[in-house]
Amino acid sequence: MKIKSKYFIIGAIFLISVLIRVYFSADTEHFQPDGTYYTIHQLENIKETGMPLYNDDLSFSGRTTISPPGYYYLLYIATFALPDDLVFLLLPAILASLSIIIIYFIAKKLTNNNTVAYFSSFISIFIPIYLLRTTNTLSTYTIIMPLMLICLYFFSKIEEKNNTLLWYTVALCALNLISPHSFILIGCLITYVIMIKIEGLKLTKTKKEVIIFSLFFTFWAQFLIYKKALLIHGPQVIWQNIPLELILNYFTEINLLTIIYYVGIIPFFCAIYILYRYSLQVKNKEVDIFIALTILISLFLVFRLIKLEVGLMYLGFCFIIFFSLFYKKILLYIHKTKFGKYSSFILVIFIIFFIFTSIIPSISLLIQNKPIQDETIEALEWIKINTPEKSSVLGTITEGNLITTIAKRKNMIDSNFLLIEDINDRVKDVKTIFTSPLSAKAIELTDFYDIDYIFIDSARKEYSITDLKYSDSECVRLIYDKEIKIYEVLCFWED
Amino acid sequence: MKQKIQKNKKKHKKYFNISDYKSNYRDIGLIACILVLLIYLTIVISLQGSVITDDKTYDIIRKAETGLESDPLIEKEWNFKSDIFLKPLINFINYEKVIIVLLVLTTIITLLLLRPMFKDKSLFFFVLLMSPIYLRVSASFNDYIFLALFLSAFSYLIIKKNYIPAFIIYIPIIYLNYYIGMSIIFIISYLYFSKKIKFYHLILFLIPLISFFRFEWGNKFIIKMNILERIFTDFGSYYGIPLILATLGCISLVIFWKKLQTTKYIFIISVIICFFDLIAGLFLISTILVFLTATLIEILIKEKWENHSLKQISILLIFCSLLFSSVGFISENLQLEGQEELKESIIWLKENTHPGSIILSHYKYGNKLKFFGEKNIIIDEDLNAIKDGKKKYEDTNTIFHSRNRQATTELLEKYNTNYILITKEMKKGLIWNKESEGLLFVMATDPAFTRIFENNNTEIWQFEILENN
Repeated sequence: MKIKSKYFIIGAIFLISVLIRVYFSADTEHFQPDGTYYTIHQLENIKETGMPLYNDDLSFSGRTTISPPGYYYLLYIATFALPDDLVFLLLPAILASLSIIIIYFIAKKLTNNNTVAYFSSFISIFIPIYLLRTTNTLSTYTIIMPLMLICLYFFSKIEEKNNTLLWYTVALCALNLISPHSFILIGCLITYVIMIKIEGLKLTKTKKEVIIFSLFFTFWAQFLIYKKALLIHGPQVIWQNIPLELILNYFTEINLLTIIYYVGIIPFFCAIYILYRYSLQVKNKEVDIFIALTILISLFLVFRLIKLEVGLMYLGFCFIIFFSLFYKKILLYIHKTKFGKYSSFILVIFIIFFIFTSIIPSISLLIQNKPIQDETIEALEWIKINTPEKSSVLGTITEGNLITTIAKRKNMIDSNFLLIEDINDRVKDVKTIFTSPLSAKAIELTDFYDIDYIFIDSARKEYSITDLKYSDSECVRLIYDKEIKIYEVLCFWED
Repeated sequence: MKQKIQKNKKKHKKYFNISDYKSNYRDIGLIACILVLLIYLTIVISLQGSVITDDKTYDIIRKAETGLESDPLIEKEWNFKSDIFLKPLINFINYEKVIIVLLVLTTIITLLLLRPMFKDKSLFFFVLLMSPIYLRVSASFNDYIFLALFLSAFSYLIIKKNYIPAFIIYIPIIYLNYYIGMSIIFIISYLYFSKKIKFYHLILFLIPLISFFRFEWGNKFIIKMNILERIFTDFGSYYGIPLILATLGCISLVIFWKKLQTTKYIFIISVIICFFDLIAGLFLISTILVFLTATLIEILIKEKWENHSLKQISILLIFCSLLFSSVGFISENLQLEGQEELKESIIWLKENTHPGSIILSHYKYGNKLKFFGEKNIIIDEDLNAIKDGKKKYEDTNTIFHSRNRQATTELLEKYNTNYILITKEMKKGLIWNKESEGLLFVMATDPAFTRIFENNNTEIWQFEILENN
């Protein structure tokens, strides 16, 4: 009976998470820009050829792409059972919500208290940044985070049962097939070993072996996938060849208020206390693995090796785990005092706090988050119908994947920068074409990149323009004039 | 008494024993396989003259044949010395066979040298075979194929305490590379004096510190590359070391730091050499890393793991990583595709154009153009040695990338260029990505350029200054 109620509660929490995500996804017809459309583009290719897209004729007007194919195949398999739209709606919601179940198991293991574990898993639904970045999107983070947590959970109990090693290996393999984030796991394990050494604790032989295996496997697997990128970009591959102009936007400075806003105020302060306590006062190997992850991610954020929002997702989960320890400690303390019988009152206080500091900010973030507008999709559909198949369309970086996926036309630039050698020149040239007052300069570039159409939508906001400054020139012709404008390039450049 | 006998047995086992060797048939089988592979590799290379990975080989052969101190086809001083050893050899056998002879000799001496060190010598050979250092040495001529031979012979003779022949071998070593020669004196003096001079270790660590402020890493490179791109083959270095070898070697160095006596000092000295001569330093480091990696793998194999299958997978992964790393290196550098066509077009140039004519192409084809075509060129791979190399490199880059007709023709006239050799590789990313880029656009639209030869891989364009222009 007890087992049944346990599954019922955790199932209910899981269902709430799925429903929230589905509700906000179904509310709109289109996805968040822009990675989702790249995933759809990959999925379409797998459906056609059975293989992921390595030579993409549309992106950057023809280029080689690299990305671990695991996630695309997972979507592909799901499309056998369900229609595409339903897969896009349900699968990310289910995958992202899996992390809630794992948080329950981790919290249960660390605190040995069901109430604490349920509450921790419930509040993990409302990590604002995670909820925002995994709702109404086909982002790989929907599966990266659960896999990372699974790996850490099974690693922490690797000595307990025989099949934990099997599950750990399966999760590690899956993580490597989906994302290079497996390097974060390796970094975390190395930091963990250092911490254990500093604390004077002993690492078990099995854990040592698992770390060695994980190290070799990850290096080997990622090396196979990213070999070409390593050769072309060298060590700069860490920054994914992000153009210099954009790198500051991608790897922004850490701001304490931003962290609190995106992670939640209560988990943040509880985490600080637990970090202090378990780093300096209490030695606990099981908690150390999550402290190691927190230290690693903090260092990555300080040295700008990881995007702020990604770093905050990891920190969000670590802080929830630390919160569970804090909550357990508070309960134990209360039980020792005269207020022991009011322990459920503490839970109510926490819930009220959470409603104001995590749930409301999360929901408001979801409401504010705008997907692609209908007008944009309409204009892209128009391009698909009214332009030659082999033509090339210039849009901004965020519009690149929309141009290839919806309009099915070549783009000059998109957000998949890896393996593009002249990326800084391209970013500069896109800006020049949109902002140049001289048609000659713009035409020289449109000719150089073989651009046939110029798509003006987000360029207005990005480059602070209302229209092309050379729109009255004979070299361009306005062919679509609504809220979004599309120009056809008529001239060719000659010396 | 029994204990004494057992101790003696153990002592005896540490060193090479022919009966032990005979009984270990698996070991012999593996070595035989590797030797077959080795011979196969060299035969394949010797059959295809144009498949030499290091184009500097052609320069060395030309220097050995002509006996000149500077290159008559391009303004540069030759900066290698191995031609002195090659000259007497190529009088008897062709240069491709010389590579095989040297390689087999080096391999045999290395095998003799390693007999007391490794119980499982095949492991060391596997790692060595899979390392780019071996692939580089086995597929090209440069100072390092001779250095490898002399160094292995020198080490063998020193171990065998044959000091006079060792001293004779030492002379060509210091002649070929001053820094390696000096570091040998340093290591020998260390072995002799380290117990007598207290601050010897301090001196050893002060040198790289001082040299760091005095020298740049290796030579001044004209082509901009960061230090990691110069060191690791996975980042594009030709003379470097693979990441996997560096990682495993360094792990081994840290684990066995106390046990490694001379090796760690040779490693430190090799790092110091990198400050003065990066390629020579990397050559030594690669060799030491092969040794260290093999040691680590041997320990991993011997060690008892809690989970046996995890151990097997981990070891398999190490082997696969080494294998893929070298396969990647080969596919990047050993280019078979289009080489015959390239050779054909260069020979066509030799037979159908004026002997003094000047050819423009990518610098990587420079040495081939000189060797097979006997043609004057503007730049080759050895940009640092060419007179005004940096300026010439920048100018050729401008020619290749500019669509400005006037600027292009002015630069072509400046270097009296008569012909331009274009390959498929140049059109597919080496220089251009599209037909409408730079010089390709100018050549297609300007009547001063005429295509005079074409095959599956290459095109030759003639450039003539038109009077109208």
